[in-house]
Amino acid sequence: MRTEGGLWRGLTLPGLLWLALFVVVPAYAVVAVAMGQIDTLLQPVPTWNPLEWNVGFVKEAFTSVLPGGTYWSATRNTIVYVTVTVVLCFAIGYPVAYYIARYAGRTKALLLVLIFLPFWVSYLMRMLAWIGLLAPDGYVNVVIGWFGLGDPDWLNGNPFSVVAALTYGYIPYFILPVFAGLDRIDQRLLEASRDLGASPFWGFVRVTLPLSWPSILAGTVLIVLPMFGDYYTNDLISGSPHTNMLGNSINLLIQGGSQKNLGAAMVLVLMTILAVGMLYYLYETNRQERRRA
Amino acid sequence: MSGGQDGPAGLWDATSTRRRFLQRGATAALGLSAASVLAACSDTTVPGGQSPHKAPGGLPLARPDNPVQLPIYPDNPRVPSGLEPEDGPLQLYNWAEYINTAVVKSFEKKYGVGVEISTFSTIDEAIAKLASGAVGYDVFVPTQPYISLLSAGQIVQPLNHTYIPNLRREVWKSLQSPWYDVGSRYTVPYTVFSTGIAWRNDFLPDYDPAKLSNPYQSFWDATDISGKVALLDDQREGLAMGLLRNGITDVNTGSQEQVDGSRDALKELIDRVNLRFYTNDYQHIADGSIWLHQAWGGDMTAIGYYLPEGTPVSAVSYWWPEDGRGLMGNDTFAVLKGAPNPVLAHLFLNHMLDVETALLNMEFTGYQQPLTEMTPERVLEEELVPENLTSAIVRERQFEHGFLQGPLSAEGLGIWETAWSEVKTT
Repeated sequence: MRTEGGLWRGLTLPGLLWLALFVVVPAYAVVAVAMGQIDTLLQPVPTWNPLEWNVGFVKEAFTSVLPGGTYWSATRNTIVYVTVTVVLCFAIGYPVAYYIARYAGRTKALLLVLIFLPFWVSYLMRMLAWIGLLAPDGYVNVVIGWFGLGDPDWLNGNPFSVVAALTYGYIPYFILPVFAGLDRIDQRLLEASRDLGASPFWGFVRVTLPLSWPSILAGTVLIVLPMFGDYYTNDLISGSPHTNMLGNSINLLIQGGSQKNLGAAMVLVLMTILAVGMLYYLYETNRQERRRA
Repeated sequence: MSGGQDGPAGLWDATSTRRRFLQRGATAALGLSAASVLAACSDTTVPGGQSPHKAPGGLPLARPDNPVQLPIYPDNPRVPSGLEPEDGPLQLYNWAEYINTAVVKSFEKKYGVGVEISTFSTIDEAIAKLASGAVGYDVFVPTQPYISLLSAGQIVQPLNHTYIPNLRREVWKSLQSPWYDVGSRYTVPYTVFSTGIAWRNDFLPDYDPAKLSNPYQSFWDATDISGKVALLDDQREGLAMGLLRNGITDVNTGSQEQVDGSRDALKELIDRVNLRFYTNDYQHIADGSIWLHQAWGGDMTAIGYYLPEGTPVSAVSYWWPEDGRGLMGNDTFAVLKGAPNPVLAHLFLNHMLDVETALLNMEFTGYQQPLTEMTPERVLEEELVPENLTSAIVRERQFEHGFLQGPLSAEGLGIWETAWSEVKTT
């Protein structure tokens, strides 16, 4: 028994090494640059020793993302766009996942493949396709024109287009974990709720929804993490400073001469915001685990 | 790069004054707690210490009325005269799409060597790569304002003019020993260009900046073509536009007030005309997605290649002030320190300063070189510039009077960079 435990522990070693090499070290490098200095060539010089850290950039970064700061509008846009996108992903994705898990029967695998089929095409190509669709003389406006609904300008810094593109880009990564969660729910629990007099609606609200909550959270985490750092969707679909997200600001700083340290400090800001979300996720999943046990 | 190994001496002094918004802005709660944990640590955001009002390396700021001779450092000497060229291949580190391959081929043939080209798309990207030290390039194409930085950081090596006779023979007198590099110690000129206003006269038949008292103001008045107006996505060019519109002609100003004034003007412009920012002005003017664009003259001379079928070159106009009091810039050639083929690199510079080479090169790039024989007449004769875009040709006299971009001090750079970030995150 003991040797078996040792074997399994040993097997985690490559994974741990991987994490250390490609997660911990780069993350520390970001911190070292954010807490570093600028040299005569205006290049960032990382400070590896915490005792010599320079907090100027980090202070500036955290101040600038608050209301009144330079990057407040980017912070606000990021939070609003990501929140709306998550709500849309839930509203559109949950019913799809629910249908596939409960009613698709033998076509289950086929439907899942179909959902992922467009994602075999590169992300960039799919966004460029959106540009074609949303262009002033594109198909979207042609269809809207049939109904006499005007001639909206989708690509000129329009936040609706950004949110639509984000939703389109990330929704499969939401559907998949939710489907997996729903698929795992023991049908006997639902039958029990019906036996105890719950209507289909209340059966869903009191049994299915709570049981799928962890998978909804997992799906949300899966799409929120990359969306917070996303800048290319915005660049392609809008390109206007009006719809800038934090990812765009970081991109600008990293390319902006002597501002790379500040860019690294902004990454720390982003990590802090995401850490708060992750802590909630961990707390929530832990709670669910304990309740189940 | 030497900075990393030199320790604190190579760094800008960390105890210098901070950027003003740190003093102005309220310190965030998070910032405070971080600060208290790290109370013993330094707190700075600027490389300013040794001398915030000077160019990097403590050099004086070069200006037309204040020429600067860049120092030669003992550990970065010239390559000796009279050496045979190396076997190559020559490594050229250039902007993307910024040289005619025919010109490269003719060099390869002349010296029986190969040339390998690597490209960059922003000067920051290039300097970051060169500063990392892990590159083996020979020739670099820095934009002029960065030359003092590159020489102070010993990224480039001093030139030996005996290998570059064309510098004296072919180049404009005013650029044989330019104010930003007196004696051409580190660079020879590559291209000269104006930054003006391009527009589609087929969509804007009544528009003519030459008739306006403040042509730049026309961008702010273009509310009826909202979404069709763009500036160059470039910190120096964009903010200079705001300065000129505000009546300030010092496009290298280090004044917080003036740069902030430009910033506010640009922020207003973004709101008024749904402003876009692009570096590929030629593409957007050509496809008609933008009708009014701050533009580089060199890009406009080559616009014919980009126009869709059915749109004549005559549909594009370009304005730059007749009297030469407009925005200008120039790019240069330099040989990198530690170049594997320094002699060959010098010969390449000489090759590029040959007028026949320059004419062939302009056929592809659209950019003009400051060579005496590359006259406006010659350029027109060779059909390198369309008849209706002759305003994009730069004359030596204009170059002397134009508002040429130059280096900024460490403090000035901070002011410009912050202002630009604020413009780009309205």
